[in-house]
Amino acid sequence: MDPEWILRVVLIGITHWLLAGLLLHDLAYRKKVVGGKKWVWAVIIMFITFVGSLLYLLFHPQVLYPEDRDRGRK
Amino acid sequence: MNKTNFADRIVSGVCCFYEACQLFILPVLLVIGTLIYYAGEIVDYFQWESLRWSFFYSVHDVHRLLFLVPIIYAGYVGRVKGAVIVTLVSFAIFLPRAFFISPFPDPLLRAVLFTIIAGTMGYLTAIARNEYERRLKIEILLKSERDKMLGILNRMADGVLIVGPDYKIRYMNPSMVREFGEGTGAYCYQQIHRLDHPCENICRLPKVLQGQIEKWEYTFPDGRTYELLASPYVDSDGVICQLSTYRNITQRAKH
Repeated sequence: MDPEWILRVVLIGITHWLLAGLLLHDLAYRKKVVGGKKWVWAVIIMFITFVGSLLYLLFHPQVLYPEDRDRGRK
Repeated sequence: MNKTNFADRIVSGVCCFYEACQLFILPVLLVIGTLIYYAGEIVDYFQWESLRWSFFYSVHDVHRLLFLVPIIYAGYVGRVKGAVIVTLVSFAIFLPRAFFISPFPDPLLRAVLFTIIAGTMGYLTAIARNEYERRLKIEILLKSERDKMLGILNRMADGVLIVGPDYKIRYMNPSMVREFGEGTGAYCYQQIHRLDHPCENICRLPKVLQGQIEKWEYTFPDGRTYELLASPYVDSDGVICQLSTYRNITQRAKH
């Protein structure tokens, strides 16, 4: 495999898992999610690279704000 | 439904709508940035000849600058977590161009460098905002504590006087004002003893500033006798002052 491609895959992987990690952490502490099923969102975030994370952010924009009332253990 | 209830419901509805709009500011900023970042490709795809501007096909360093807006805004409203997430999202948006589209040299390196710089700016914005809020909270707490203390002093029957190391009166409670007249900002030896210079035989200020607590009785030339208690006090500006209470014991002294 071309080293440039390896670099690309590694970079995509690092960025994806950093973002996914942050959002999965948020998901774990969220009381309510759109659709009601957390595991569906977990699968989307983990396996649909970037697009899944973007979708989660689009449906839960409150993730980005500290005064988020939906956070906390269910 | 009465008019007040109706007005309240309208106000709360407007507030909810405003809050909901605020939530979507960041996604909207990111979408606008993305549309401009990939405007050349969008124009090509839809064959919008009137929008085929050379700006959309130049090096995208300037276009990337647009992402500073959501990143710094995220740092401001969403603090560190918000800044990190929006920086990562922005980088994910840059990657397709860097990998597959850009014909210019080192597209990935330039995208990475921009992301690091913009992320740092967002992070610093978040830190500055956190620090600002922390200080604001401390200031409010200090002010409320000070107000509470002044409230107690204002209701005391004994006179209370705070004098700075420069002999200037910093505070007199209402009881003290009644006995000696308003003198905040004046020199204590002028206001209390009607002298032109510090009263070396009477004054305990130097000792108190060294940390001693002094108690004594003093009779003024007009016959009033006071029991004085002076102790060191650190004022809100950190300066060590003398806090003294004046208890009028004229009646007791006469007997």
